[in-house]
Amino acid sequence: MKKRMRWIAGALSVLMLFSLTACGKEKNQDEAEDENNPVGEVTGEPLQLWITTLGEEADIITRVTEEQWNKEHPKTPVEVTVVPGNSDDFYQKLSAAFATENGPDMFCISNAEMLKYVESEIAYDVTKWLDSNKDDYVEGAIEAVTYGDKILAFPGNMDIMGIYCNNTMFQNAGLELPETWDELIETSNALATKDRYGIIIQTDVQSGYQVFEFYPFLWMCNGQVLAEDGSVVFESEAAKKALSFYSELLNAPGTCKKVENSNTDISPFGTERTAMQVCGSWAVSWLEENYEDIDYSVIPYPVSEAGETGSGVIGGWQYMVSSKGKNPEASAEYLNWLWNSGIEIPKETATMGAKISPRQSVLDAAKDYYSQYPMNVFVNEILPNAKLEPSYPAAVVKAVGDALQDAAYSNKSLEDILADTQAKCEKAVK
Amino acid sequence: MLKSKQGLKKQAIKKPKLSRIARREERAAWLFLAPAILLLMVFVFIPMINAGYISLHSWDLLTDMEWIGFDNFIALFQDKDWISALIRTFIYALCYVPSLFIMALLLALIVKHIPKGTGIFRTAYFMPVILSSVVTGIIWKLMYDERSGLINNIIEGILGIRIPWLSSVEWAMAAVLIVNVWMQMGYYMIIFLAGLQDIPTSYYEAAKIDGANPWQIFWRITFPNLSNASLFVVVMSVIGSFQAYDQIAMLTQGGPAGSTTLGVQYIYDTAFGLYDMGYAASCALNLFVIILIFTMMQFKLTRGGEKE
Repeated sequence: MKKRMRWIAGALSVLMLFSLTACGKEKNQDEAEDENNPVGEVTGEPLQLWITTLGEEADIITRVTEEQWNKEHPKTPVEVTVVPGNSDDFYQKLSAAFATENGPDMFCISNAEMLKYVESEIAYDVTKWLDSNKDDYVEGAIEAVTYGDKILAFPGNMDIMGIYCNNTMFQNAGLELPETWDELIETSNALATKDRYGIIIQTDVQSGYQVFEFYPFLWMCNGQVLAEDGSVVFESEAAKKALSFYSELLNAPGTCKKVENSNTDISPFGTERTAMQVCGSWAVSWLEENYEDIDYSVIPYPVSEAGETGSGVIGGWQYMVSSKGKNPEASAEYLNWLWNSGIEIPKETATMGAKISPRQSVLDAAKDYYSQYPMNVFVNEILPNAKLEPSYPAAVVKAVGDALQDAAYSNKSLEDILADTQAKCEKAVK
Repeated sequence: MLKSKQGLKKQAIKKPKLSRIARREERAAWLFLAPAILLLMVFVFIPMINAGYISLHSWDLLTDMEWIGFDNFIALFQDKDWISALIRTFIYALCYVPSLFIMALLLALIVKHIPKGTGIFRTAYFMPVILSSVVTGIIWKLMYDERSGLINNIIEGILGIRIPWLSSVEWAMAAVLIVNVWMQMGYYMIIFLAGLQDIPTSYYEAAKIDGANPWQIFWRITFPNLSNASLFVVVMSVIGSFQAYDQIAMLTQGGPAGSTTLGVQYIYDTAFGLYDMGYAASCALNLFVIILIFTMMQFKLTRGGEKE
């Protein structure tokens, strides 16, 4: 019996050892092949670009890559992989790939997630491609992808958050579009019925999306999470005011207490299950395609009191070259071609997907599109006061997310919540 | 064992063919076991060892692992959030196990005593077990909706109130518990049904002759004879309660305000939200040890009772 157990254990060990050795051998052979390749050429597998499900933008990127780049650059072909699922699935697959040294050559990344890849030195320096074209970018776009004196990603299309309002419901109720925090809650409560909500706003933490939607409320009170020097400044009167309103809004009778899926989905608004919904500019193309009969307006986030300056938050996707890829120079050339050098491709991805290009030349070229309603609201009314989503350590975003949850649902005092969050953030940035 | 076997064989009629057959049977048995052992090695034991190795490091998947020794284990005993998650897990287990036990036993008793259509009811009650947990979560999320959900429509019709099932810290845990009990009670019902069928009918006949009422029959005959099935149900449901995750992920994601963040949800958030793989691995090992201790205690208590 013992002999047999030893025999089986030994056989399994040999089998595992063999498979590990075989993997190692394959990797060494690939490295040997790369050393013999001329600079600027990729042999064997093409360069890999991983993107998340971006709708029209993903389709356009795939098409232009196959029909244009790969035909014009046969020595540096690119293969676009659209990773199915939501952004959480994308990041998990991406980080697991890098953990097993099988990461892609290029990938899209949100501003919130960039810091991880910068600190782990995966982000490749693309300054020389963007430096000469910096002035073409709107304010903040290049700064968002700059760390120290290096530009570490190509800015992609921006998504701007706004509030979608059903005009028919407002007119039937004889109400004006809300401009202040109090008006937002009052309007929401007045429009809510047994069969519809007054407003839908993200209620679950959802990997930082709730914090993303909360930022404008904090910023318009002149609050911040981290100061420019990296110190934690969350525990403040500004944050207390913003949290107090946020709690009042989430607990108001007209507010949806639990979104069905992520609040990135505009379907509840499109199917008239809510009078208002906080959502991004991407929802415009979704409404045009699926709910074209709905009569709606888009408004910026209301201000805390009449006369104050508003605020908004910009999301979107940056495109990063992996320093661990097969040929970072060739990858950067491709992304430069895709996003930075021409006009037509960025214009097509922006206008087809209801996104906002970070480049002024593209905005000018698509003037007709951006002058139409509601894109003109995003560009002319919200964008001037909006800021890009900051890139904080994951533990900081989690701490703020917990603060929002506690403010809305727990019995803790705001002072305790702020103090607790301040301590957690300070521990995270130490 | 082998020697005594050989000794017996020597005393019996000597037939060399028998021992060859016995050896072949043993070889066949190991061959049949080999795939399962291999799968267990690859997907259970090796990952467990690997988790132990990772727990001694600081690792965010993107950079190299950094050896930190037992720092993660020291940190988790000082982590208020992890301790809160464990306490919530214990409370959840205290509610989940008795609820599941009672519901499964009740269903088994009902199904056993239905005069006709036993198969249909057995299948119907077992259906939730085979449903995808993602599909179940989506359906229950819609049913729990405060404004238009089916459950609140019924409750409002009877009691005139609507319950914020998934959006209040008071009700969210109960909502998750109900779904998990509903999903698993069919499986344990089958276990109890098998146990009930093993009880000789002569016991019941004798009890009826002696004038026992239904409650006495259940308490004096049925329940004691279900001890093996009961042990299995309790042990497995305790383990299941400590591993509760999928419905929490679907329904509440650990909220609101962390009220449904149990151990596994905390581990998931730490690993894939904070990318702190080393600390998450240490929490996972901590949970494993807790489950192991509870399981061993249960075996000892119940086996000790049987010996008496």
